[in-house]
Amino acid sequence: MLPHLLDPEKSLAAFPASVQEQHLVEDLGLAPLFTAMAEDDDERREIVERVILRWRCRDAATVRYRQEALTDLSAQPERAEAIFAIAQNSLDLPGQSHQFLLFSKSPSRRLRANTALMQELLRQLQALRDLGSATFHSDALRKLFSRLQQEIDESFLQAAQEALAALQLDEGVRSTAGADATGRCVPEALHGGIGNQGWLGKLWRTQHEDAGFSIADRDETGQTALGKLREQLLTQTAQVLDDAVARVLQFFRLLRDELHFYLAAITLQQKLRQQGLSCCLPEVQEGGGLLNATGLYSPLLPLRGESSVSNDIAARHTPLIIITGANRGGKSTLLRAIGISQLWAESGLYSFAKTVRTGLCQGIFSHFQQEEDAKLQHGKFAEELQRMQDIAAELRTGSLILFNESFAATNEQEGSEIARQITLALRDAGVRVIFVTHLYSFAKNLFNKEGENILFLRASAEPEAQRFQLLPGAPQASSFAREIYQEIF
Amino acid sequence: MTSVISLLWPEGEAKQDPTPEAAVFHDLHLQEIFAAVCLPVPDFALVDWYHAFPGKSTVIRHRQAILRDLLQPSIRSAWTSFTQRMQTLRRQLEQAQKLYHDRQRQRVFLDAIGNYQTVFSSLVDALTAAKPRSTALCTVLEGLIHELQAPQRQEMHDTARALRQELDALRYDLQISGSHVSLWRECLQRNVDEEIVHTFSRFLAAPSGEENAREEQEIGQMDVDPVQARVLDAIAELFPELFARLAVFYQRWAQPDPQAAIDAVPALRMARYPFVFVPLLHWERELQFYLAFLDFLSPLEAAGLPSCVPELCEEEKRTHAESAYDLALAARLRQEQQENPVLNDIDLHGSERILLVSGPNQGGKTTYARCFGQLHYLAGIGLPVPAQQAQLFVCDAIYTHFERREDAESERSKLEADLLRLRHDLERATPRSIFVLNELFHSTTLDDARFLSQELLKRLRHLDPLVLWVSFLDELSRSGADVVSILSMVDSEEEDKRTFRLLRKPADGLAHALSLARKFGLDYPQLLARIAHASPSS
Repeated sequence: MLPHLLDPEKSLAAFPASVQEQHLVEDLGLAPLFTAMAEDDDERREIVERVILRWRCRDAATVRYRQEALTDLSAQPERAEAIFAIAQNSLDLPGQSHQFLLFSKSPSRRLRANTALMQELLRQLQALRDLGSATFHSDALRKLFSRLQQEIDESFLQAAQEALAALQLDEGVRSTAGADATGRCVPEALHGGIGNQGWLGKLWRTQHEDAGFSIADRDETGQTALGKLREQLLTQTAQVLDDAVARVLQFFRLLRDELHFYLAAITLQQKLRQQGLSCCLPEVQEGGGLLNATGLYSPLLPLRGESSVSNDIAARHTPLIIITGANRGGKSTLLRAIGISQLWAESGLYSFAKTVRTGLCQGIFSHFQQEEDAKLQHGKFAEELQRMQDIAAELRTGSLILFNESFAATNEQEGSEIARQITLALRDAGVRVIFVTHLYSFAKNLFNKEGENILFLRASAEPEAQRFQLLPGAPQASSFAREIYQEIF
Repeated sequence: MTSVISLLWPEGEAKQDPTPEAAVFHDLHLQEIFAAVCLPVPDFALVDWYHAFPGKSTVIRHRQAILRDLLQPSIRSAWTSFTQRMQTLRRQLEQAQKLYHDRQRQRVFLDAIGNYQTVFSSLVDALTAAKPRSTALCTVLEGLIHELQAPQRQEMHDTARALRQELDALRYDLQISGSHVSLWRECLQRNVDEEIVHTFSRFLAAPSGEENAREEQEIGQMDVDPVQARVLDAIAELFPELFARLAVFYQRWAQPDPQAAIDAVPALRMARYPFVFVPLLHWERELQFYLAFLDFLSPLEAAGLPSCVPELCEEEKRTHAESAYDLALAARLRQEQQENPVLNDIDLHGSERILLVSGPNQGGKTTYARCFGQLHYLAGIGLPVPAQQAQLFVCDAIYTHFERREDAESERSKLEADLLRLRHDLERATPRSIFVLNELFHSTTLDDARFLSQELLKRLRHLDPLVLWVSFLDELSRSGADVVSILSMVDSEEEDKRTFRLLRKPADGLAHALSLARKFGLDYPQLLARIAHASPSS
């Protein structure tokens, strides 16, 4: 039995972090977003990062599955918190009681502690089951509660109680055993404790033994060895109960972790709503070019308390966008807004726009010009190429890559030629590309020779009102650096 | 079976060979080599065999035939895995012998005998499949098959198997209440473990990882504790007939002969148990003579250093080796610096008798001399040699005279001792001997050195052995057609030179960046192909 809140077939697992995903976090500036979602909860933050960076939806159906669950939970936040609380309480139980016993090597101590713990876990499972009602509409939540009703039924609870009752071992313990190649007794099947067996226990106590012996109370060595044998009889059962407890806890852990993700998403949405910003459930399809969006903004600015600029983009059938224009004209902001929107859409979450229609990508990558590093000036261009080579090893048909002023660490002529070859190779291999550049020769060349099916956006250096609005337009020679220079000096 | 065949000496050959003087092992660094060879297998006490020099082609050919068999991976691994498993068994027996509780000891020996039978028969199976060619190993295999099929051994095997099966299958109920332990022959049916597993199987298994550390059975504590001992006795009480049969079996096959002396060679100590086939222990040990050496060569081979079974030159005084090296140096270089030594060729033929090595110091002259000596020594005891390929003269003895600068004696007494030893060796040596001489008269005056060298040369010519002579007196090399000059080179043309070439070329704007892009696989054709290749074809 699994919660399946994020995927109808799979459960949240651990995935190794990759170098490229770290670049993505830095280049798009995702850290403040994660913080806004998870607040001070490190566990929640780790889950959010894991899902958004490593476990986005594999198909459009899964996107809708998550979108519906998110809608369900954000409509009834107090119910979502109640489910979360039961999961969290259950996970806290082992810590509250007998922790030292649970990690003990002694099977009998572990058995005693785990028997008590399991009684409490059974109560939590019942409580969770009884939370369910007809108020949920999504596939994910309706199926979860119908599974709980099916699996946590009376016959399960009774069988569990009977097994736990057999583990009252104070009066003695009986087991079937064999002997190993060193002549030692090897326990095979525990029959249980002598107490709590009802009429069976009485029978056991009165049955005449075929062989036997007693250890004198003052025989310390003998008593120690007898204790060891008793522990041996219980070893396997202790492991089995360890495993059973671990299974139930694992269920609660997955439930809690998967809920972490939705609760974090709801938190961020509420914060943006408070600032009057809209979020929308994107329409996600498979395949196609880039995206169509209206009112697309970067959530990073409002979270910093700055006002956001929104853009409209129509590139659903275009696999390549080239963004040129004025420095500080909002090019990088738009690039980040697109990247973030895409990540969130593929994760099954809200997009930061009025409307978004987009496709699923085979991985999202970023290649941003790195901050000036005085030490590395000499090999900077080679470093850029090295980073591109690393990304190329992971690119597939259908991937998305975001370039920001890449390949500019050499002269304009060389940089343009390399950017041109790389961009065309990517386009022709079916990779989606968005390229912010001031390499004029590169942009101009594409505009003149490959112009069809490429969206050219240009940042203008117009007065304040229209600043940061990017509109379709041909690349222009100057990058307005002179103006900014004059502004500053 | 009649007389037991030896894997080191052919039939009719005395199993005792002369041991050369300690100087030979010291000078040629053979001592270092054999110590390293024997280090992983101390139980077999092999070193005396390596230090004995038969100097006869009959012995060498006998060994080479076996060696060629062992160079077949299937034959080698048959024996190697046999020895590995026997070593485990030896440790098991050593422990078993010390067990104080009779029934436990009987039970453990029963298992050990079963293991021995398995190891024995898998050796026979592996060898039968591998088909050895040497008469020696074929005879050994016949002997093994004969023994394995002997009625007594068959009976032992069957009895052991039946006992083991019955002991493994016995089940009883055990109850501990308070300080009392009860046992029953009848077993109850309830199984709480299964009930728990079944009930909670609806929850998926948690990913493993944080497993509780389970207590492991410590190897050192094989003895049963007092309670386990009493449980075992109680089990015997439940099944008296089975344990009586076990005791009889132990008596017959595992009880060591109390009269038998304990062998000095640890690997042979198993001989005192009646279930052991003794000739196999000796064969195993004799084969370690080859296998331990091959194991020593393995890492060098992996590093690209050649070795080969040399051809023997008996009629003609001819010796020839290609890509040869000093084995001791090679092993040291591999271990310490992960480097290979320089490979050299050696050649003497026709009327040539003396290789005269001269040239600048630090040029590898001594290494060359050691290599020459090692080749002939290793070939002479029937082992592979450190060379790509070799035809080596079969010598009856090797005499080495290396300058020992560390001696604190006076010059005079030292020269006296050296000359005495030289004369002694020249008297013993035959035309079939080999001399390796290294910087003999280094500490005398030039005139004296010249005089002594000329005298020595005369005597050597008279005796007519093969000689490798390292000397700073290069004039010796011009003294006749029987002397071949070898020069050590420093900084020769062939040696690796680092090139930091600087070429003047016209600056070419695009060429640099594009070639860089090409280097990273980022030009249009490479990048396109790479992504297309990585993507699942649609």
